[in-house]
Amino acid sequence: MRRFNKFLVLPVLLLVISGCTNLDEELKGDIVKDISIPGISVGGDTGGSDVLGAAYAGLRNTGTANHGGYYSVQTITSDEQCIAAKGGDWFDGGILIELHRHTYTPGHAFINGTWGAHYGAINTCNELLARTDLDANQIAQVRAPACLFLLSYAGYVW
Amino acid sequence: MLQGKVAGLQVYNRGGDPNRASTIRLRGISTVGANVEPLIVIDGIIGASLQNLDPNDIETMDVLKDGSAAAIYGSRGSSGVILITTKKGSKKDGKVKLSYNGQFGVSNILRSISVMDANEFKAAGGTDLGSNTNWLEKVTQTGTNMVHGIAAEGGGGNTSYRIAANIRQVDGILRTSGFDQLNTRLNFNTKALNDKLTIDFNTSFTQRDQNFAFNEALRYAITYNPTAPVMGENSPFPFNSAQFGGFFESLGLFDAFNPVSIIEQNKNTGRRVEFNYGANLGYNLLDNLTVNLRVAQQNNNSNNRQYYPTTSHFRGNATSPLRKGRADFYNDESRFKLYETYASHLSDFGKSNLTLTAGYSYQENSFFSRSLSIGDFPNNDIDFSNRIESSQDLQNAGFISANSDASPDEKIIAFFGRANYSFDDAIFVNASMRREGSTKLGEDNRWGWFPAVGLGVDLNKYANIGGVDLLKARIGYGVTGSLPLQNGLSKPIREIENGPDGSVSTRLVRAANPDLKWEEKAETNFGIDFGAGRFRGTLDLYNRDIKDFILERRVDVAVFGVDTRFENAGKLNTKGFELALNYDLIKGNETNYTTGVVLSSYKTVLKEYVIPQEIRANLGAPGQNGTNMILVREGQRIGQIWGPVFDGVDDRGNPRFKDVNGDGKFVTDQDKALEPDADFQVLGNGLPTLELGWTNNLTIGGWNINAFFRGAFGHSLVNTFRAFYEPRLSSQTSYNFMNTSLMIPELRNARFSSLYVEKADFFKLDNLTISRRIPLGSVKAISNLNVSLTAQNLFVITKYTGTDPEPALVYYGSVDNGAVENIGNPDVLSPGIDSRNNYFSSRIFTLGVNFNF
Repeated sequence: MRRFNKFLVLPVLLLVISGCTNLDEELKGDIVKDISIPGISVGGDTGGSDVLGAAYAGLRNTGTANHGGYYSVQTITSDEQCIAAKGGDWFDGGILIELHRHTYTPGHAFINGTWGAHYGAINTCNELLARTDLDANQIAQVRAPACLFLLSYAGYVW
Repeated sequence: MLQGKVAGLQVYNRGGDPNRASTIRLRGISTVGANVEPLIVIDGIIGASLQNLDPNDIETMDVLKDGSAAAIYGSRGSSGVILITTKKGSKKDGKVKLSYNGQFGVSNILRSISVMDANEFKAAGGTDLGSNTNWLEKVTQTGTNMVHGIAAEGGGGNTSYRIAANIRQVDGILRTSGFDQLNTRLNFNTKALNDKLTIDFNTSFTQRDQNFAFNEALRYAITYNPTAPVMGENSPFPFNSAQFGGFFESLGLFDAFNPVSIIEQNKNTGRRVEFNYGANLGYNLLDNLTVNLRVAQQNNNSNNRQYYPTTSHFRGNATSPLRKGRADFYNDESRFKLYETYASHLSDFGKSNLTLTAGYSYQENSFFSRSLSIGDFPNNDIDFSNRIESSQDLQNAGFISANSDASPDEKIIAFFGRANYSFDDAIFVNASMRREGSTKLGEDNRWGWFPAVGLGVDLNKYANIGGVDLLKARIGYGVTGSLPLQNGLSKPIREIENGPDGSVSTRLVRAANPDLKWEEKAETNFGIDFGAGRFRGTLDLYNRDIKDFILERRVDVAVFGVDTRFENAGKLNTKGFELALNYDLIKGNETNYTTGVVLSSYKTVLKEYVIPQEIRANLGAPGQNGTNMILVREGQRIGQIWGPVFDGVDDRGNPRFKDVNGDGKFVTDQDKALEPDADFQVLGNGLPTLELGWTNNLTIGGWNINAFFRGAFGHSLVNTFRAFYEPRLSSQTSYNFMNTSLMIPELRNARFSSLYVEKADFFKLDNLTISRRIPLGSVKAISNLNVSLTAQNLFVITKYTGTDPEPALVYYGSVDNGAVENIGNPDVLSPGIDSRNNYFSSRIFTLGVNFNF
């Protein structure tokens, strides 16, 4: 019996030890590969179509959507928009006043955020351009607008 | 439980919220990006949760601080290891021994924030709404806590067992907050096969019904207009009370909600069920060779629910014409599996001996969560979170928010070996090597080597100094790896964009980093244990170098296509000392008095970082967005509070700031905080430079008095309540004003500066316990009757004007207007901010009784 136990324990141990050294990370709740599914046209103007959806979303973010990005930078610095600090409220560390007075620096969060949003949008477009299944019309749609906004915002950056 | 008792261990639960776990640090932060909490090991099972353990079941608790000692636990022990052994059964005289432990306590608010009462508020120009309400009184209560614990132990022959059950009921000082907990634990130990096989089995089950209530009620009780009525019927102007469940609300005012309505109308509850088991088999293969196999599993389920009826202004959308009411559901399951096997071999060479251990460890963690938020309920006839199919949102599917998440199987696999050599019972050497791999790192860098060595010498054995009983020196060096909390950091992460026509496309939101590697911590520890007569002392000095910590970093968007990815970046150095001294002042037959002091201090410097400097920790709304309070700069200490220096008030009520660099220009706007000519300076540090624990234990006959004092010195806190609400703002007359001793009546503009950074040194009587062993005379039914009275937080000496001067080790970000605080992602680089969402600290008196029967 005693000898039997010895011989039983050792192989079991070896089995467990060699059992697993696989460390591949298989993500379950995240998306790591591009998914694109064309939409179904039911007629009428449905905005950005099919695979260009992400590119158009980028265009929105670098255009007229969201406080703190392109829209804010363009309007607060001009007379299109005025943000009045009411006592302390909307003072926000002076960053809005700086836009109005044109005394902002590269450290300004809105300026930096706008830059990042533009390049993110351009990257989405570039990824789309790298695909082979876009037609000439779609390629033209992807190329133009995001780059235009960046040029208008930051000047000649290439 | 552990607070202040172990040198170098920081345990802080600011305010003592009964439903929030304490923040625990050993020797400060050990990393910036990864897990900074020490590893808890209960009965050999790593990664256990302290919340699943009843203090009554603890037999011993040890803290491994030294890097070489903790190294064998691998990456999860990188921030230190807390070893807990639970009580085992005793098989004395073969009888079953029963014991009971009961406690009853009451708690009250210890310190509050002083605000104006209705009359003061009106006199200061506040908007008068005609009533007089003390909001804090309306949302707080006398808390209670009750504990009943019963344990049975016994055994016979080679077998012993212990079964314990504990019930805890806590009602917090915030009305409706608290929990009910049932905890059971079984320990079973036996030997078989001619005593060659030892079997240890333990299992525990915890069920905790929690009522989180809403800490926001405390926050808004401080800022809500003291002349506002609780109920809408007392409004000075026509008010549609029925729309708000009868309560008054300041409509249209940013970040203001009736605190009484928050806690009376809404529900925030949860249930956590945790089931653990562990089995350890040891077999003496030969006289000097043992093999061990350990299997353990932990299952944890949480189910949380919030319900905001259609009449709640706070998150219930009571003002919405379309979508009133909201129900949120959240549940998660986490599973942890552990398999370990190791063999130890002992060689005895007479004067010296050598133990060799080698083994394999496999840990797997997985997590799944699901949440659902749905609203637009018909009315409040029933709690519609029990009947969400009545939600009108179901007709407008876009309004429903639903999320789920599943983690990959996170694995840590390690092979380890260790040698312990002792010579002459006086010289001890240990060396270990661990080869550890993790799924969380980049493909080519998943495996790392982590060595450790240690040497200890009993000097007294050789030096033989007169009067000295104990003199030992220890030196250790160990390298451990650390892992980030999140998964998938080396992978490219994309987000889906859904088109209106059913199309789907994705965009990159975080770039991949296949080179992501282990963060490494190298720690050198030197220690001396000293004893002479009635005196005992321990001194530890350490140096810790952390490199390659894993941090989300801004990268060039033109290169990576997105401006963020995780990288190994930066170096951190911590130097510190810990000193523990004990002295038996009186040692007699009947009377004993022991006093002990624990002192610790450390300094953490950021040697390298992803960028040379940055500011972080936004103060928030109203009016102080874009205002970052913490400076992170290479070559300097972490935790620096950064801002302009207050220098009086100008004739328009605006704050004047100092021209710190004396160049005649005032550069104090926040986006210039890091410019070379900025008039900003370090206003304090969020981390204490010295922490103190002082124990006094006096025994006289059957009486025992234990007084434990605790203090922390050198740290500052940003009192954010004051930063927003102390200046007498003409535009903010609908919020209450703070009224501390630091208030400046002329100041009429709220801008962050040194004015709101306060030194928060404190010294307090943390715990005073008086207990008495009751002589039972001829009573045979019970034995060992002990009665005790405990007072926690009896007094606090501090100059800090906020509720709690304890260091705030992390910042959860600014939250306002009813948004939900994200406690899952604390910022460890931004200590020192007393945020507006804190629970208030309390003073607790507890009566306890325990006996055996």
